Amino acid sequence: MLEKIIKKHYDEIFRYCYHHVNSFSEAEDLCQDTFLSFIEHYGQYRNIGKTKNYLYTIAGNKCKDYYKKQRPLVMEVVPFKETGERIEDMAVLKHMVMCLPEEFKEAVVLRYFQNLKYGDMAAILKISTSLAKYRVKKGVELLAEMEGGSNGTKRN
Amino acid sequence: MGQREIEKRLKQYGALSKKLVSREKESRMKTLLEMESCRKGSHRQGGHRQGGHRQGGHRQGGLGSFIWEQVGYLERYCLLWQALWLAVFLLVMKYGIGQYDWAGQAEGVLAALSLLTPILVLITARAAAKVYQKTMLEIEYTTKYSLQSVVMLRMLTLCLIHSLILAAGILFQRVQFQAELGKVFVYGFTPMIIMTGILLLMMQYWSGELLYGGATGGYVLMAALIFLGCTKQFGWYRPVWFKTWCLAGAAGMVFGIWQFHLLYKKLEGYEKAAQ
Repeated sequence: MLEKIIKKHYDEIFRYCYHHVNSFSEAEDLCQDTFLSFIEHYGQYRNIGKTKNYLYTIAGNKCKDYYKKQRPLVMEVVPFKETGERIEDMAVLKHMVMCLPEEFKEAVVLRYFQNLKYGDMAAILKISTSLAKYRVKKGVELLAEMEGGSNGTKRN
Repeated sequence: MGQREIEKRLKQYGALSKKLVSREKESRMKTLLEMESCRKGSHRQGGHRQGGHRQGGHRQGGLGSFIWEQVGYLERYCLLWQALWLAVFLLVMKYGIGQYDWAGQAEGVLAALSLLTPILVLITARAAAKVYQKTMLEIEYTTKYSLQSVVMLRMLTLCLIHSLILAAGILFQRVQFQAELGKVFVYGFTPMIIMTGILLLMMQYWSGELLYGGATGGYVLMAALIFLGCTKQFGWYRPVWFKTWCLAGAAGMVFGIWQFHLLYKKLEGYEKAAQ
């Protein structure tokens, strides 16, 4: 059963870690740590909910620990088979998301990059569904403002 | 650039990032599974588990700790709502009973009693909905206890707590107003028993929000029937209908027990399928 769980969620958790640390090798380590913690602690898991949400919570904590260690932010090349302007667009967008305040960044990553439902986001972030919606909306607003600001700077 | 454009680009990025896969997935997964098998091995040596099967529904700790842990599942908000419900129940019954004559026309009081009791089931329907999600099957399988034992114990705990709260409320009313105990019990418990049976029936087919929605719909239907029963045309709260209420209560009890049994069997089936 554990094998099924790991197989089912490994890629998703890996992507989530990657979105936070922007490095394949670091994301691999964080993902591995997440599943290790899951294996070690599932015996003590008392509350009931989706496995995926539980894994996201662990992964989120691992990413926070990673930031606390103040490792330098590694910016890898956007690893998609895209060319030219689109890569630049994606890199700028990703950078802007990373510059958002923590709570909005997390909401945007979970909603748009990980494609989660608001209910699941609320469970992972331990907030209400309405607050999860607000954070996503506010995050997008801030991104639009940042985009407007950067365009204005470019024009100047 | 507007927010819609940003959203569009974020979605595009999300769709593109789905292509991201770990390069070392296989090797890392292998390591994780090896670690798990080592951990299982050490547990077996420690005598916690035998042959990988659960013993009496749980892997470690005694029955007492299992029950205590599951009682702790009753979330704070759930207990708060129950306390509020008790306060409302006592208030309504106090002021209601004081104005009516129990030997004569007391439809208002009896209807209030019938309306209040199923709310207790509705309050915990969300907790029950959480207990029962198909997506949690796998976590249940990797945690300490079997899904069947967890669901059954939690449902029984909720039923026991509800019955105690309701019985305490009814007895309190009886002491205050010397009302007919049997009458208060029948009008109080029958709708709750029927509602519990309906919830158990729904749990066999629905889960999560759908289950909660269904339970709410069931309560609204029951409330409509209770209001209908108060009208002169139907008058279900007249003494002449008392025996019918007793029969309905007994039938509801049989129905609830039967549904509980069916749910138990269904969970057994899920576990076998998951194995």
